[in-house]
Amino acid sequence: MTDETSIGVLICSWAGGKDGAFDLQALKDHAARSPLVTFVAIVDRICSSSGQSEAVELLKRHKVDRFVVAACSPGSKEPLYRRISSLAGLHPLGFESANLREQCAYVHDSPHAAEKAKVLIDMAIAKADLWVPPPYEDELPVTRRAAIIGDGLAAGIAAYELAMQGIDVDLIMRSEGFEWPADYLFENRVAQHRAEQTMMALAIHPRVNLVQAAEVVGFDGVPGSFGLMVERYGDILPIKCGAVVLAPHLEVKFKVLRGTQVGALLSSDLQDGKRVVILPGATGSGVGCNCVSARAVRFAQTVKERSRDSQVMLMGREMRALGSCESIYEEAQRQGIIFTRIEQVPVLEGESPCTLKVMDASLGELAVKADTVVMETSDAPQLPSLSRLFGVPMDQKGDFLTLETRLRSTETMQRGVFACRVRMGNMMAEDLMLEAKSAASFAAELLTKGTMEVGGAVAEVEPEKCSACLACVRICPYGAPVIGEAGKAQIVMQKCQGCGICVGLCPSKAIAMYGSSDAQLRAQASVALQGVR
Amino acid sequence: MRIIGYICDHAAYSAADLAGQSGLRYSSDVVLIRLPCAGRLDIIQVLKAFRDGADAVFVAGCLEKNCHHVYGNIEARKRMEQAKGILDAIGLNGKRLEMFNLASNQDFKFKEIVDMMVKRVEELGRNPLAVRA
Amino acid sequence: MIIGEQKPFKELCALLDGHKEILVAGCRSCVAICLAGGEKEVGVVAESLRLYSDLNGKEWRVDEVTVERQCEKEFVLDLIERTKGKDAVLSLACGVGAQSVQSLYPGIRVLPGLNTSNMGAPEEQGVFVEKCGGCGDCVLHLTGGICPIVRCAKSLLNGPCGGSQNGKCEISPDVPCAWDQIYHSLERLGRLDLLEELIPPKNWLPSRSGGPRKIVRPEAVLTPVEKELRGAKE
Repeated sequence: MTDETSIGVLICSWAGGKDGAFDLQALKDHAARSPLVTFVAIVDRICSSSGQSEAVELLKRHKVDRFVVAACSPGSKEPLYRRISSLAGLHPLGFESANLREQCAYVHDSPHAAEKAKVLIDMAIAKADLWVPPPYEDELPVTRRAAIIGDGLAAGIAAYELAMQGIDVDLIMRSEGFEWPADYLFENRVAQHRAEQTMMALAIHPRVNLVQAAEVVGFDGVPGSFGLMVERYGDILPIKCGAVVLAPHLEVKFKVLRGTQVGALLSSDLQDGKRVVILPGATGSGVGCNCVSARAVRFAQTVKERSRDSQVMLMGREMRALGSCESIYEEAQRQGIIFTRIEQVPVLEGESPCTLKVMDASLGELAVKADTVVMETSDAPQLPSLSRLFGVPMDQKGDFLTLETRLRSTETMQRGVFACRVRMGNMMAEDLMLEAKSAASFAAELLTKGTMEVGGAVAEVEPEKCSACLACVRICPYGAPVIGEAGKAQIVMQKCQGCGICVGLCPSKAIAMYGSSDAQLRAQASVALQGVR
Repeated sequence: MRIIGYICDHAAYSAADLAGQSGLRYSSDVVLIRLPCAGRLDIIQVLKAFRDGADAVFVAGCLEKNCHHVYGNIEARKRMEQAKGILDAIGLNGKRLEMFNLASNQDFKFKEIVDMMVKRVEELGRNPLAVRA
Repeated sequence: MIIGEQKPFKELCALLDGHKEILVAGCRSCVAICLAGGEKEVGVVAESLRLYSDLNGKEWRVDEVTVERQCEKEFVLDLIERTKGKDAVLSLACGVGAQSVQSLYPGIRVLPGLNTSNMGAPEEQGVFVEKCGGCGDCVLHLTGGICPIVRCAKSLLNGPCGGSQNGKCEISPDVPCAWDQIYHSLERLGRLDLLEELIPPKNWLPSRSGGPRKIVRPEAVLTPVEKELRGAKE
């Protein structure tokens, strides 16, 4: 576009695939015709070490300030191209890619593929010509500390894992000591033992700082440099960290609806209250409701073990003893615990003893007599306040909303804030520990290097154009835009994840995006449609 | 004919790559433009593509509730619905524009999308502004 | 803020019929915020007009520009270069902006691209609701902060009509009864006593019926001496 840009084009010898779908020389000649291009070269297998060296050498020699790589899909190759760029003395992000293989040679027939390859190279050249160096810092120092918030097993495990990675941890707990999970949260003695070992090691680990009887009251800063305000015995304690792990304690209780106290149920000298019915928590209709959880089964087993002549019955629509918990289910049946399959919540008549009127799926209408009726409840009391304070929304079930159930299950929309989901219907100790380890590993990813990458493909507001309409502030999934002191929007670069939603939305066209500007998108479409009209 | 496909860098781009690796074939009349997220696109880009002679435009993003950027795909859909209305008012037929959701491993679906848009153009005819065969 | 809505596209095309050199002019103020006439909407309208023109042989040449506030002389005068050679300006600003442009460029036909509607606020992103009636004689202190002129369909001043059912106005189940809202607002304030203060029949003189209203702040107006000392810059 201007006299100032100087573009080099590198065509990989395997751009058309190993068997060479293209006449590379023809492509080279075509690219060389563009007035925007300083030089074109065919590089033998650019991703190989010799290819990379050759690329660096060529870029240096021709003194270009940006380049195009015409090769296979850039998906996995970007770090490599960044390396080439840096070694050639260019901005690490000063390149564009043309995908000539997966999206051209592999999918189109021969003469068409070659023609389209020319168009794709032209598009990449047009885009590169409009490339503007973005704000970019690949080694911004981070505070190499993590703050873990929570009282229970998840918080403890997360703290331990991070400490073992060499990260200093502040474990911020509401109570004076750990909230140790009840026996029935553990699948078996092995799990319990493992948890105990970890928690003991945690308590004496030199990298772990226990902050007890503390409430987090403030949170600010940016990813990599957060600041927490913690209130403790009337004083405010500032805590700095680079990442936060939210791991509120999961309280599982068996609420007595009729009959004797749970404590008595679990003691071995139970005199009356021998007929025990355990109802599921999470009522309502929908997935996961009215199910018998593994925890409930373990509770039933505990009652049965302590009071041998008790009759214990579990009611529920479905069994949810997943994975290793299936053996618990089998064991429970062998112990003589009865499972009754019901569709709806039973109607309770009377006090203690009472009658439960319920519809069994096979036996029809039943009237079950019971001395004690308990219902499983679970709650994470600290969760809603953490959700508010850290800007992590809650889902419909009242749990933290994390980015993606499988691959990013403990990452939240707030960069640097990781959350353990605790109320997923059927959480047992192993599940909680896995959640904690997952969150810890994401936090470690951010912190172990000691630096983080900031900038690159980010959005930026042009204040003169901004109408301060708040559209970007309201839409950004990551909370990156804020209204600055000048009364105009600005994007907090550390939080921007480069989606461009705000760019497309801004009613005053005040936000631009590096690496995907309006002009670049326009230029690509324009080149692709050349000659049509 | 010429069809522009705006594809998000996550689900759609991966699906397109996978289509290539799986040996699927589709028309070379389709040219793909990479977006960081479907939500990046605004309708001015789409209108300009039509004015440049595009016969059809499609946008491909992640599956609903599975957008890599949380809800960029939903934003894109809202805008493309608006654009369809505008295209109808202009007299260019909103059916020339379509938005699709897919997962990164849906190579077959990607091909289906391309084939569908090609067929759409065959049914509706070329963009009246396009002169080249 | 002022809330307006774009005229349907077909209507815009009809307005521009017979013109050739067109400038679409937007504003960064209220209309940008209510998504009717900011730079982005200007781009959408301009591009749509170009497409329409190409498809229908209109030979329109459409230029586009957006100013900070279309009601301010200085910002509108900045457009002088862009208006040269144009025979029509399609203003996407509110009625005030459109009028400003016409008065400063008397030789070019200015066409309103928006139907300017009311004074209101965003209830949530994308939803804009009328709030203030501009009556010039505000009684919000007596109504718990709720305007009875526009939020009551009948503009009643002393309580609901018989059509108020379950807190809704009889005109639509989606429209709350303003007097129901007023009652509850005053209740929350602990000032139900204010309901007993009768609001007399409205004096409509300060409102729209008496010609264009003018408000003067004497301490801000430049005196003749000041104007003279400034060198009579117009």
